[in-house]
This record gives sequence, structure tokens and C-alpha cells, in this order.
Amino acid sequence: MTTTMSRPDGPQPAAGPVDAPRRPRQRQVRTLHVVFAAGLMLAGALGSTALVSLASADGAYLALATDVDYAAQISDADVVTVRVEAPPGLDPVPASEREGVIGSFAATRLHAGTLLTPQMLTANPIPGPGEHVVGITVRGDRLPAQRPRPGDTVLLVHTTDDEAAMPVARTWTATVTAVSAPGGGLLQPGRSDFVTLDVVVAVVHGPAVAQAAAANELVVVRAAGG
Amino acid sequence: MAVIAMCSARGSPGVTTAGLALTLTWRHRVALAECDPAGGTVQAGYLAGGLPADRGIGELAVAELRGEDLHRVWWAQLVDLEPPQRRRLLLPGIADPVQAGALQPVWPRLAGFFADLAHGKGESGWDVIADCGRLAAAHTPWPLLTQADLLLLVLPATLPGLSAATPAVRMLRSQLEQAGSGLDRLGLLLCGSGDQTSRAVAHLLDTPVVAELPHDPRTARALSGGGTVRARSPLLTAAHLAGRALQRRAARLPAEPASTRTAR
Repeated sequence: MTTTMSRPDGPQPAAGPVDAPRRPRQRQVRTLHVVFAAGLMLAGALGSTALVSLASADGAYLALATDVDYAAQISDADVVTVRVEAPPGLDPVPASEREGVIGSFAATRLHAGTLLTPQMLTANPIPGPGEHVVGITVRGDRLPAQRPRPGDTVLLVHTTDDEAAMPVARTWTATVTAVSAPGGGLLQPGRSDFVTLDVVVAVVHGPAVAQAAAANELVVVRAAGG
Repeated sequence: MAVIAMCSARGSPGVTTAGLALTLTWRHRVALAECDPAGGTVQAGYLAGGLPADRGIGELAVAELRGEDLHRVWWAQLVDLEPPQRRRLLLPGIADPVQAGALQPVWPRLAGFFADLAHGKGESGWDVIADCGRLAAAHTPWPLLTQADLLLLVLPATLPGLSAATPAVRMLRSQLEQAGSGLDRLGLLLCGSGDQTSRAVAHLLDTPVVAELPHDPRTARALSGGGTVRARSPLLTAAHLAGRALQRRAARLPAEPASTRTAR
């Protein structure tokens, strides 16, 4: 007997093994896969919920209900509580600090409808230490046509006819805290073209400014950025 | 290369399923020969009846009776279980148990042929796993069982399984002695769920447990009735390990039973 094997590539066999039929792969529901899928869905739902609640974390903050002038004291009616999403990059005053805000002073001119931030407030009344408030009454033609407003920085220029006495005009930088409307309560009758400004100046300049104002020798110039 | 014959005492411990699982995970080229006298089931089961029953061991027996060269006929009687690899082949069994009687005179010659496939000269060695069915059935292919390199009795590790296996082991030993084959070729393959430990089974039957296959109903169902078989299923994973154990055991035994030559 020979021990020669018939092989698919051999010369002898006319026919070889027949291929087993290929069956379409049956779909199987595997419990582990189902559990895994359910877990994945749950994790996704929880994750997105956490993400949304994190992103839309809203809180109660203080906003301004009315315009508040520079240096004015904040009253209870000036602020309202609003609920908004935490604005990125902004650090508004939380509503819980309302008590601390009431009674503080506006460090700048505040507009109704804006969120209150700590930088807008100051605990110190104006004028602060080393400052004086001087009231100056200026004729209309010595003011810019657009009247200064509280919070503006202005330049007070001392003018005099005596150029020999003061070849270079003296100037003081001051911050306006209040402005009387023309013909308003601050003005005397018959001087409706005069405007009275309350300005904050350093203590050392207070007397000089007052003197120049009394002599009607001041011109008010709006400083850049004022 | 080796011829591994598998049989069971009675009932349905899953000889065909175990043989198929071993074939699908065998490391070398392997042919699963369905020699069960009760008929083959792989084509109708695992292959889901997708092929005509026009080939198999019956055709091989006819060729032998006609005096044809089995080596020429054999190749055309196979089904490639993993086309086109030609590494895991099936020799389908008979379709009708009536044919078992006609196979009876051919078994010695087929046993020699399988031994030739396994121990043939040259590079064309094949491992042959012969599914011999139940010993309780008529026309048991005794020449195949006694001349195999390894003879595995498949049983569940249960008391009824042990009860059935006890006379079967006695009968197999007797047949091996009559054929002049060594008794060390006999081993046990534990299948499915059982309440007895392999050590207890080996002790009670005084026969080594060569391998165990776990209870994996899903894979067993796919192997016996068709369906998707996952390569990483517990049954196939265990079958891979069992196959390696069988190969190691076969390698330790003498290459060819002395009785093989006498039977030719």
C-alpha cells in the first residue's frame, strides 16, 4: 500500500473537498453588550446633565435699577436682584451681599440696567482723605458746550489778564461730583447762564481753586477720558 | 499526527459536539471522520443541511469494496469546515443507519487507512478524529476504536454517566487486549456539567481523565444544530486546551499501535 496523500495541489485528485456553506452571520443579542450599552447611555445622560447644569449655573446678582451719579451713596432703591447665568469673565456682586452694598458710594457713574461689580463701589465717601470738594460757579462760555457730568475728570485752568504775574496758566485736575442744571436750584435767579460744579481737588489745591473760582478766573476743560 | 477515536457509553453525552469542538480548534491539519454507525449529524446540524449528502464515509466504503485506492477517493469525500484553508475537514458519516451493516466489513481497512493518514510518510500528515458514536449501538466500529492512537470515552461527570461508563470501560479494555493494543491508549473526556470531580471519575473508573469540556449550552447548541460559534466561547476555549492535552498524550504513546500493521 502506498502512503501517498492526495492533496489539493496534487496531480491525482479530480475533485477535492467541498466548501462548507457560509451562513449569514446571525445577529446575537448578548446580555453583556446590552448591559454595557445601557451603562454607556446612562453615563452619557448623567454626564451631559452635569455638564449643562455646570454651564448654566445661574445665581442671584445685584443690578442697578436707577442711574447713580459718581460719589452718590447707594440706596436700597438703586439696586435690584436679578437671576442670570454666571457671566464668564465678569465678577458681579452676589445678591447675598446686598446689605454691604447699600450705603456704599459709587466710584464711577453707574447706569441703570447694568450688573454691579465691586469695582464700581467704594466704601469711602467722597471726598476722601486728602481731598476737598470745592463748589465753583462758572459762566456758560467757560465750559464746554457738553456740560461735565459727575464722575468726569476736568482740568481747571486759572486765567488772568495779568500775564506778567502768571505767564503760564495754573491748572488743577479735578473730578466732578455734582453739576447744577442751568437755572436749577443751585443757581441764583438771574444767573441762568452760570453752572455750578462740585469738584474734588487735592487739599493743597483747595484754597487756590476756591480763590480763582471766587475771582471768576476759572475755565473748565474736559480732560481726555474724563 | 494521531488517530483519536471517541465514543460514548450510551445516551447523548455529546461525542459529535466534542469532536467538532476539537476539530474547530485543532492546531494541526485535522479531519473529523463521522464513523457513528447510527449516522452522521454534522451536515444536518452544524452545517444546517446546506450541502447535498452525496459524499462521506459511505462513498469511501463503496470505493474500498470496489477495490479503488482510498487515497484517491478520500479527498473528494470531504467538506472543508473553514474554506478555503483545507485545514479542518469533515468526512461526513452515513445518512442511514441501515448502511452501517455494509460498513462493518470495511472498518479494518478504514482503520488502516486513517492510520496511514496520520503516520504516512512525507509531509502529508493529518490528525484524524473519529467520532464512533455510542458503544450501545449496533455495528460498533471496533477496529477503529482499538487501533486508534488515543481512545476516548466521552462521559458526563455524573453518577448516571459513571454508571454507564463502568461496563463500557470494561468492554473497551477487553477489546483493546484482544486487539493487542496497550490499555494506556484509553482515556476519559469529561463533557458538560457534572457533580463529580475528575479525580473521583478517574479513580472510580481506574482510567485517566485526559481532558474536560465545560457546560456551554449556547455553543453546544450551535455546534449540534447550526448557528454562530464564537471562537472565544467557553467550549471552544476549553476544546483548544483539550486538543493540546490530547496531542501531548498522543505524542507520549508509541507512534503506531502494533495491531495496526496486523490489521492491514
